[in-house]
Amino acid sequence: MKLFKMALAAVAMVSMIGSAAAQRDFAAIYKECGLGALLFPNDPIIAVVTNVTWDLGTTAVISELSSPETCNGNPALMASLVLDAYPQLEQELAIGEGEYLASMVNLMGCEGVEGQAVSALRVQFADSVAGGTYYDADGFEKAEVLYNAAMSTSNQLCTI
Amino acid sequence: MQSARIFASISFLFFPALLFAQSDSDVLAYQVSQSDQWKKQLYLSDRPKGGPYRPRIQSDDFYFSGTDSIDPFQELLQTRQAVFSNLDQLNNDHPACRFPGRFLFLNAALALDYDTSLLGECSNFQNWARFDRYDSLSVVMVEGYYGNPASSFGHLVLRHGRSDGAQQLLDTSINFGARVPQGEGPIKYILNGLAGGYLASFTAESYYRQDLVYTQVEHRDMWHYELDLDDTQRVFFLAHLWELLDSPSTYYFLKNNCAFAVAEILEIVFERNLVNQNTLFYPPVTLFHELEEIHQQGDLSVIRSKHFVPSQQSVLKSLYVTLSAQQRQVFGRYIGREQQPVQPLLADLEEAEAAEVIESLISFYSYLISGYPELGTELYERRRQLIVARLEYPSGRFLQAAEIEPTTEPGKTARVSRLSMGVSLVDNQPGLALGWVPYSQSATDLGNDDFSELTVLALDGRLQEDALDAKFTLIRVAQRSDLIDRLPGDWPLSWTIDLGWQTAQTGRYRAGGQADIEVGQSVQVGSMLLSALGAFRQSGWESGLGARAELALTTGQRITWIGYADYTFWTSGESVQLGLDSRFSFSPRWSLEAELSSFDRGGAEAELNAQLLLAWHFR
Repeated sequence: MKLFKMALAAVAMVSMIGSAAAQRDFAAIYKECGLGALLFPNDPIIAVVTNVTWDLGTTAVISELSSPETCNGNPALMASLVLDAYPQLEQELAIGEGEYLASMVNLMGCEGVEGQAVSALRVQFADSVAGGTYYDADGFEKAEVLYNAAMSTSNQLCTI
Repeated sequence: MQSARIFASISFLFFPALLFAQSDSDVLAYQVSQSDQWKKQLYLSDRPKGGPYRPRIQSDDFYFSGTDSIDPFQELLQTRQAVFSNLDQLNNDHPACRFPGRFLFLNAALALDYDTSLLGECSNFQNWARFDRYDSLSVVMVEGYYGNPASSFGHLVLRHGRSDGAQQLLDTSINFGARVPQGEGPIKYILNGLAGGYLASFTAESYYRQDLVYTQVEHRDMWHYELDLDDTQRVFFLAHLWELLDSPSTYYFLKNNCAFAVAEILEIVFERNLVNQNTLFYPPVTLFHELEEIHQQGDLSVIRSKHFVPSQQSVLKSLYVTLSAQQRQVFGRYIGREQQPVQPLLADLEEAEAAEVIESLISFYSYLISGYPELGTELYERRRQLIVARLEYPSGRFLQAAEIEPTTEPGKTARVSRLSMGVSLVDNQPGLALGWVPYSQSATDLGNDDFSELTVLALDGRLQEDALDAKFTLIRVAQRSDLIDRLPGDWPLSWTIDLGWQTAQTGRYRAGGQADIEVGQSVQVGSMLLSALGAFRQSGWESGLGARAELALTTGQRITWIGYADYTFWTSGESVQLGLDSRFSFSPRWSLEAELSSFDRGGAEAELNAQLLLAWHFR
């Protein structure tokens, strides 16, 4: 997994990976908001599916953990969106448009510069997904990288 | 005010509680406390034999006047005292911020004239309700799903967001669900759900989570009904809902469920009856029937708009059908071979055509991964390769999905509980036919687009000159899936499971327990669905193997025909049954059903059966 992050760091622009603080932010938000992978740390994708499939019950557990106090604000919501909907975002970044991507760009505060923001994200995403270590990275690591890319893009182009 | 004084002067004679009333305001308070609008906000159980009201909400801080029994008048007085005191020190811990719905209701009902903008100080409530951004509330019907027994009858969630639909995924969803411990087994879950073994409450989270679960993972279509609420109604709805968040009540799968809980709030807001507290069953679709019926009566508009959200599977099918024959060939070659780059297969296509194929393939692998994660991690790598390939093309969607035909709006389908009565002719003997079923979405019902069926606990009787014959259906589930409208590699099965018991022989069924299991395939031709199914049948003590051919057809939306031919080879010989079932639906509430069949067993004289029933669909 370290290789994956190192490879990304190598191809990333200054804005790509963001600071260690930003990475900690993602992990902190992730834990505080009680997302599914907290319970299944080895497979966030499965964890999310497991949590949400039991539709009459488990969603309640999730939102209890996700109290408004700990999960307020766009960065927290974006972290949650990126982790939960990473496969959808991945697909829409490849195409360059889509509902989930538009939601993320909205959370990045990119009103009026959506196209630029998507282009910037798409370039960064292309670098990471083409890397040989991408396949071995788990869902959490991929989401963390995308979240950090979104935050740095937002800092450059938008106002989160 | 004059009428209030007159009421006060005589009320002491009838209402002991008013002996303690000190003023006109107390008289008014008493009147309000006895109103349905107030009692419904307190969620009180019925009063057995005039006894005290029992609280349904199991939370220490939901009631001000006690936790074991509740007097609506005392509760109102203590609520008024708590909510309207110290308003100059309003903060999130103040009772007015905990109970903004009661603040708004009592302020208006008791004519207290406090400035309602005071609730702006309740930052937690304001942050949650997002009045600055959201102006629309919708009830969302998620279609039934057999992957989870609790979802067979469908599910209902609320969506709070913008009326223009922009950024819908970031809206707030509000879900009423049981608090089920992690790792609960399905049998225990069903039993506890039926018997009241769980607590349930409203919880809020981002709407995209509902979209992920229902449309992406479970492949379920959804209908959104935007409620026609004015600003006052909408603010009150949310203020009351805020009071209910994390305020649990006992969950019953059949009654105190997602739809029942939302209907109870809408009763307060619309001041109309939407639920019968004594009902034993309130499936989600019933709320949509009630809303549709009130709306069509014309004196109260409750539905502002409706829109259909197709599942990921429906979208993928519509993407696939837009591909040309050559593109589909490439599509098929890619998924048919293991680990190969897609680019060589695209060599004969124009750039846009190639991008379209890649986009459809990405959607296909996303569909497999999200819906069928057990298929393996190899899918992730293939999808990654396709994503890398697509990134080499310009940004922007090349492949546009064909228009997706919406399913029938849930409020316009047949109601699901039914009483029927009519005449029958069984083997030349006339009789009276009666039927009752608490839940049935039958293949011939109004708005049943795919001829599937779910019938539970049906009881049918036939009164003849010398006997009463009865048939009990424990469960009948029929799924019909079009073989042509399918995705590559997918061979959708049509199947039926029918379990029941009957007192006398009719047609192919002997007296005693009976079980039919059928599996086969269906093909849609125009508006007809043709099915061929293999069958295992158990009737009484006799077993049989057979086959069924079936033709289903809807004409003019209101008339459905199902013709069938059953051949069965029993342990005692062969039998053939030919039949025609048809239904004319006048409305979601009324239909006329006709059945005609001929049964021939082992060369004996054929038995002719006919039945004509008028059905009242009452829930």
